[in-house]
Amino acid sequence: MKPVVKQVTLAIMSLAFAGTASAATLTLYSAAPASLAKALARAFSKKTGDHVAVWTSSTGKVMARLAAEADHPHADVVMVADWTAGLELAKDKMVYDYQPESIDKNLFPAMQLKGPFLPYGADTVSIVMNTKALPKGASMPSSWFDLTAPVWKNHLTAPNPLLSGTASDFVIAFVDKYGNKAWQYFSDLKANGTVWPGTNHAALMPVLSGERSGMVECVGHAAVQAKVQGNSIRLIYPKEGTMLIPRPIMIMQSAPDKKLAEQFVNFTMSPAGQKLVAKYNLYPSLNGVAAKPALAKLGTYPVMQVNWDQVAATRASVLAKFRKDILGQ
Amino acid sequence: MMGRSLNRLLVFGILGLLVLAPLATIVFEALQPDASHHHGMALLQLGVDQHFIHALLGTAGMAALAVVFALPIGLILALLMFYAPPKFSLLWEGLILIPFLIPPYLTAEAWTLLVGPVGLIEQLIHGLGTPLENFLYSLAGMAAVMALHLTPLVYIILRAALQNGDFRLIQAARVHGAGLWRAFRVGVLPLVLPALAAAGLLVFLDTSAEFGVPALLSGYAGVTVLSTSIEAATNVWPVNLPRASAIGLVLCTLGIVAWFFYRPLANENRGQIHQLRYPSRWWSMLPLAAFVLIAMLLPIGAVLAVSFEKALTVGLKFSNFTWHHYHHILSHQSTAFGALETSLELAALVAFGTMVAALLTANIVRRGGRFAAFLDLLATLPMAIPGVVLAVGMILFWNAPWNHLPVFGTTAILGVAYATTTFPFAMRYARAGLAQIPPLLDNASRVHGSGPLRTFLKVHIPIAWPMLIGGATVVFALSMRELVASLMLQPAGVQVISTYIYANFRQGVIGDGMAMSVIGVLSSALILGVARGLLLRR
Repeated sequence: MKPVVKQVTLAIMSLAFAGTASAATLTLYSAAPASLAKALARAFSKKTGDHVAVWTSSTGKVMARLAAEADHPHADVVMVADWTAGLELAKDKMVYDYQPESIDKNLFPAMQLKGPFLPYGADTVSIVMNTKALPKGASMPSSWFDLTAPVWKNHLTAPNPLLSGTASDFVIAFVDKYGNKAWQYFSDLKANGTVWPGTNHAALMPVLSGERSGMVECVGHAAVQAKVQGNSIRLIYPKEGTMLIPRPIMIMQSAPDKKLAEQFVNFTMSPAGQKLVAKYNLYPSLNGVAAKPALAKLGTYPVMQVNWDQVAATRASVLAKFRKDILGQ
Repeated sequence: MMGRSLNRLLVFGILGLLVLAPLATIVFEALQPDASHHHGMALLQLGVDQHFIHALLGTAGMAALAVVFALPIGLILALLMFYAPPKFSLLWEGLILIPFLIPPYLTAEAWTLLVGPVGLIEQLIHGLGTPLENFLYSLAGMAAVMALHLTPLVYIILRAALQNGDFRLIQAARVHGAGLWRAFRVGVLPLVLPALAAAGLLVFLDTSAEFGVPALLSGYAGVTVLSTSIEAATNVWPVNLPRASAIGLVLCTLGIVAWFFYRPLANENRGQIHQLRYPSRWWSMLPLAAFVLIAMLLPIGAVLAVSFEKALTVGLKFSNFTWHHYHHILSHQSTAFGALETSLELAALVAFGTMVAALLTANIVRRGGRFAAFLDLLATLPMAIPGVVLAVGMILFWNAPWNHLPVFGTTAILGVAYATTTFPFAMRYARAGLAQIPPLLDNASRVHGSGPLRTFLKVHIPIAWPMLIGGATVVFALSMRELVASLMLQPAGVQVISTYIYANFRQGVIGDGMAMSVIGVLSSALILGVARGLLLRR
């Protein structure tokens, strides 16, 4: 009987200590890739000795949690996958202004964006095909709008924009550019048997297994990771343009220790932090840090021009319409 | 008498916090206007919401199909094991029960790995992968996964009913010239009908409350169900808590109705077990083996195989073998090891705390009275409350603007959630333990001058000890596998086994998740075995 009593006592004690220790830590909420957030936290802890508690999920769930905890905020630093989500939080006065000129001026010109926060990297949204699982008679698409052709019936997946940050920015910007044609496009995809099973990984899995042939609006880092692992995956950059989406890192207004939070942001934007960003298959934003060779070089494919400040205003209404009309929730 | 009123106060406080508070906040929230409306009540607004109706039909359909699958299979297994037992029937019984010990979300994950054009089944027999996949990703497929998990439960209930029944009836029918089917209809069916109804209700209740299986499969099946709609309305921006609460209330009502009908049917095993044993038959092994293969060997085999694979699509080749996933999980600094530690500590703590609370409650309930009946109802109610609804209630209550207790956002919230979901099980064991105490012993202790506390510690606990340990192990095992509340409530920097497996699966890091499943199941089995061995050796 003794050992178990001891074990329980130990458990109680360790829990109690875990509670007191958390007072001196930085809390980070992050969207995918979860491994990047954890790697940044580890490297930062190693360098400074401060502990970083990480909670990772998809952008839609990070945003929901921030809203739910508005009265008792826990997060100090937030990293999400889409720029308009950051602007939305800034609009709600939840973001502490931190975009020091000393960091901003060293970013790639395309990453020097206005806002009360910095872009820690960027990612693409493009089309992905499993070259071994194409339907009979299909040729590689070259346009977003090719995917509504009958040959792709029941062969495609897409990430749920309510969960995936990059997919939400894609939908918002696409609707901004094409208006009703965009909504027609999404309902044509749905009528053609496209499924929206969840996050990027949930949508990519049936493509990797060959159950489905391709994925619309796939986030770059997941596709590149699958490709590097040896899957027969090809990224297709449509002629209308691929979406290049900057990813914000934000300090929350409610963070009790702004200095510690600033240190973490500085670390993420430093060459050491940016190398980790590159390691996990994102485009780094700091000039001079190279992206992985597996990623196509920026400038070698067409990119859709988006005015993020302008489209951010439509975020809530576009997503609500998508949830209702396309996902039927 | 101080002791008794303190006991009452404690019990009421505990049950109030664990059960009443989250339920009350859900009801209150469901009566607020839906976030997309300005006035009205979310609960009434559901009535004209066709997406809600779809999800309701999805849940009802999935639960009904699970009943349709699980009842006949469970009945066949029970009849075979009773009337035509195979050799080594105890071993077979153990094998039949194991699928119930595998968490359903893990069975679902295993089956997604088994089926498909490059799945394990296709790799082994070069066929069946695609049709099986089409079945798995459908309403019937989700129901089948739940049925595989719940059939052992049906089996236990029916087997007990057969054993308690009068076996001479079927013999009398046969003697009087009835054919096998007619003898079954007049001699067996009436005996097991109440048990069939009870088992059916339990399967319906468990399946309609399930979150993990539809969360993994329904996106591909193009179906929505209530549990995942509730999670989406709570956890996905823009949040709509009144809607989540309203749907939660509907799902809860569904559960409570099923449970209300179930309770009178679930009579305790009256222990009139007949010693009669039918002669064993070799052929009964075949259907039993088929069930064991589909419900246990294939899923467990898939989990094991993938936990040793480098790349999923390369398949079962020696060059594809690796220890890496296990190495990763057991390396001291990995988040996986942290998740393992957190789960073990939490489960141990909850097992201890919940058993103590349940013992205090049972101590009042056994004295009878209207207050006691109310407490008993409150303590067993979480059986009927789906985990996802409970989690919403916990968020509403513990994260409310006026609630400044440091529970939400800390590991403690997971302990609170586990304590609530496992309370009915703890309660059942605590009551059974206290029921074994002869009133004479009570009186003897009091006559010799012991106070109620001393009587409780020196007389009640030693007698009830084996039951208390039994209850604690059940609470421990259930806490180790809890998924939905853990997903919705886990704070930053904290993961438990189930959320680690689920998150890794969702992010395509499947090998690590499967290795964690193996380690999680083995370590909890080991700890349970050791704990029982040490605590019950007297």
